[in-house]
Amino acid sequence: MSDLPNISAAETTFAAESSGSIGVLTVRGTLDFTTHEPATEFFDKAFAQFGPNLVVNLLELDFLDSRATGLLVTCWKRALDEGGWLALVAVERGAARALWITGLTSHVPVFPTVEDALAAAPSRDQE
Amino acid sequence: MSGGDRILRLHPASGQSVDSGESSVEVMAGLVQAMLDAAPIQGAWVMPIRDQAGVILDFEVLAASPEARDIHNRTGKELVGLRTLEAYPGIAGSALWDAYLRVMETGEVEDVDPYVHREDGDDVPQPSTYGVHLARLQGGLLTSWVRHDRHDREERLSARLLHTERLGHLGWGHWSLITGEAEWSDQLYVIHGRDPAEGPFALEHYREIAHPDDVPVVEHALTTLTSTGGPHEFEIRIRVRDEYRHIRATAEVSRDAGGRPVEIHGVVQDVTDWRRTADELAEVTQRLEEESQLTARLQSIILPVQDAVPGLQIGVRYFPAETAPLGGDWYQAIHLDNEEALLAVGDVAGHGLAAASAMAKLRHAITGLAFADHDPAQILVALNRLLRRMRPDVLATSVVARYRTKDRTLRWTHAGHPPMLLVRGHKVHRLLHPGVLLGVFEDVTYSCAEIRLEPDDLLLMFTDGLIERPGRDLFEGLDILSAAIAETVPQVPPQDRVAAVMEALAPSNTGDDTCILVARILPNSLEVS
Repeated sequence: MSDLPNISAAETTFAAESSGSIGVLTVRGTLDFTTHEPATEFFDKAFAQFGPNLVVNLLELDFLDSRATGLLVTCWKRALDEGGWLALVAVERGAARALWITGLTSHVPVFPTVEDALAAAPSRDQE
Repeated sequence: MSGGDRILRLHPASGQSVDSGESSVEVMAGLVQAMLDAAPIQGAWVMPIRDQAGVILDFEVLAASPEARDIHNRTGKELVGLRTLEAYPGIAGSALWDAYLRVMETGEVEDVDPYVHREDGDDVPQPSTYGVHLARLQGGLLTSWVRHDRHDREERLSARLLHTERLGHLGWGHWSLITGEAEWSDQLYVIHGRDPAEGPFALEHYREIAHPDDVPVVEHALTTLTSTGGPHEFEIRIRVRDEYRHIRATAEVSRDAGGRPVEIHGVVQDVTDWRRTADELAEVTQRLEEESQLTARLQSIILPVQDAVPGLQIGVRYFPAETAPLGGDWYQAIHLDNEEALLAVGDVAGHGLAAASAMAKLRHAITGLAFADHDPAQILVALNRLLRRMRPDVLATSVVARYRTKDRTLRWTHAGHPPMLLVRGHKVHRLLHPGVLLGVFEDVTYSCAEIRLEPDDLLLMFTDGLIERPGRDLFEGLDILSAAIAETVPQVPPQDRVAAVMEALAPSNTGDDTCILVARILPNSLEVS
């Protein structure tokens, strides 16, 4: 990556779709204190819509600061508390490096692709 | 109306006294028309149309003045031949119609003013107001009228003024200084909570209804107005029913030719709501100002000027976030009593008092645990438990190190924090020994790493604001930082390197606060910076 992504870093978009009983959430752009409020709202809605089984795709993230890292941890804990499962999709090199530096990857499941994450989801009754 | 020849149905005489022939009606019409042609009025001569029993069914225009203009904008001769009820159905049953019949009956002149004409139709202004003058003339009626368009305009203007007064909480008043009489607009009564039936009060009355603190303002205003008379503006609180309202008044005196004060004009605005909002705003602004001063003081209490630490030359620097004076980043470098030093940097996620208070807790706890001879790993385990118990809302990262002077040994560990940098000679190394961040998981363990340091080694601890930037891997930021240090270090002798490195570093993310600690290993452990 060159410095070019900086220019578009202010854009943050949130997208959600379902894959079976799992909600797949994609965050693009910046996830930091400036986007904390819409991000919190987005995750709240995702829980309301899909329940606590979620995959959060961070592959297209430009920036992840410490507070936003906290938000991801909060979501992960909430999913566990509600009897669900939450996985992150991220690679170590890039904006999501903070997940490794903070040691979260040793506790929160992280996968390199959405497909890998969905394949690893705990099996549950599909009715 | 039945059809048939108009002339046949004309009964030009009023009453039965005169019996002129049709031809005389035509002659009369010619005469009246000639007269109307010369008169600067809107007028028409109309003749009744009667049934066999003599009852008036309608009127027909036989002559009209050139200036005559009807509701449909027909003028002059265009009106001739029109029948009243046919052409203006709105007149049927109206006061004007009654007057038509009455004047025909009695012969007494009547004015119908105002006559409000209502009629359906696209081109008819609704309603239209006229003043109509009726006189019996030669078996018919001479009607003349004026349209009160101008009065309508005045009414509209007056209505607009009323709206303006009401919406702007504005009222105006005149107080005559000669007769003592006063005139108030409607809204002025509303502003003063006064019944219009009571009429205006004298200016002096303001002394009685003003808030006691504002009476001097009233006195000053009255004196100023009657002496200099120039426009004077003042704001007072007046008692309106059971509350005080803020009013702002602008008043001036008008004088006669001899310069004698004649009248005081005043415009009064009720600014209570505006004043309340302004007061609240001022209060909030002051509170923010106080909080800002408090946070600045807190910052200096939490992060005091660095004391000397034996065996180390230390520099620290804290950059607040551009948007928040108080952040959650902190440092600690302190001489422990057994020839050891504690070095630590940490970051509590977030800004403001909540983050700062959590940061203060952590910093003090770390210091206490270090004095209790805990090693860095034990310190972080305890800190994690402390956060889970006392501040479960808080996430924090930290790097904690103990430096033993006598053998230059550094034991350290990280809790989710960016790596330390070690500058040895002209090379920059990462000292990474990762552990999970604080405050997230109930049971965590940390382990220590250990390294022997050499004289003039530099240790660099910092928070993520120094290396993070949108669109960039944190390690890329770390490489850029390392390169900057590697470039700076060779340019200055060892004793100046702490200052030079501090000088060379600037936060990459100004939206976050940033904390930097640089420590140089002194060659002679007895030397104190």
